[in-house]
Amino acid sequence: MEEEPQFKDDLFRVKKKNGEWKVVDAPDFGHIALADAHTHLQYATDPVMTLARAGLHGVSYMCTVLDVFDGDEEVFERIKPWSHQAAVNMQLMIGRC
Amino acid sequence: MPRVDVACGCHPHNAKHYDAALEAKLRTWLAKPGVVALGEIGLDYHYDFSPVEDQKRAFRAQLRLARELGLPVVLHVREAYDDAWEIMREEWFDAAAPGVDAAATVAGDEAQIAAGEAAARAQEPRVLLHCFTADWETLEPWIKAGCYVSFGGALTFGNADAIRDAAARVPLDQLLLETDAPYMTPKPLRGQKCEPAQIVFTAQRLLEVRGITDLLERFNVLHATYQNALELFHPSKA
Repeated sequence: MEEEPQFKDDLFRVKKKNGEWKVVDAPDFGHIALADAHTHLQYATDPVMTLARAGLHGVSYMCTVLDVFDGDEEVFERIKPWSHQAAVNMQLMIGRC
Repeated sequence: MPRVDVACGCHPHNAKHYDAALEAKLRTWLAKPGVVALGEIGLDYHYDFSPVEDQKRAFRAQLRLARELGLPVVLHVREAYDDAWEIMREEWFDAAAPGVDAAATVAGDEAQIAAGEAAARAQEPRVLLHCFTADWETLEPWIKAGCYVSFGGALTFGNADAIRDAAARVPLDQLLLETDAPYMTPKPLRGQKCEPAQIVFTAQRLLEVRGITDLLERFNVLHATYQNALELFHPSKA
């Protein structure tokens, strides 16, 4: 998969034939909490922004799955710093600081 | 801000590497804070990255480990449901329920034994069949056995009528959502990396296949998928 641009917002986009990225409408469930029961956060290009966007779209819980053979043990130590920075980014993205 | 927990295990693709040393490493990982499940484990006959016998061996060993540690298991099963069912039946569903009253067993009090076993089973760690992509006929025995099942982006794919049919029939208290990010990107975002925020597209499709339009019912269904995740991974706190 070719490298995708990393947008610093919570919008979803699809790539048009001319190479431009077009924003698409997304379902909005208001304040209903969602859970992503199975993900691999550590494979995200930008785990901090990934967490922030998830939070802005109502994801309140996720379980990230790590393989003991080829997974990186440092992920355990990175989750808290990622979460902290994602919380900051969420506030920035909704214009509260 | 999402709470992030961790599941760890040896994927069937890596089963050929599962040995005593890897199991010892897995034990240390499972003891880390934030680890809530053993997974993803199981059988994958689509890619056959590890020999079938290695996959079965690693699957059985990790099921036993999960039972020993009282952890729920997250299963990866692809084109191997029959074999996975047999192994689960032997190693999990039919395995002795912990905590059965010894005195009742000795006294032969059948009613008390049955009640004890039922209570023990209610406390047993749970099973999640993740990223389900087969049909209801395949899923039904797992549902009857009390397993949870989660649906990901495949629910939105064009050729996924069987998956949608299954999703429509799962009892609400056994239904979960997932992304399996960065894989399984839901429509309309196919062709790019998946991420957890995209779960909203899968959630919307789930509501559609279950015929949910009423606002309160939307809340009930989506909230149930959230609560089920907590119940699976944090049974004392859901």
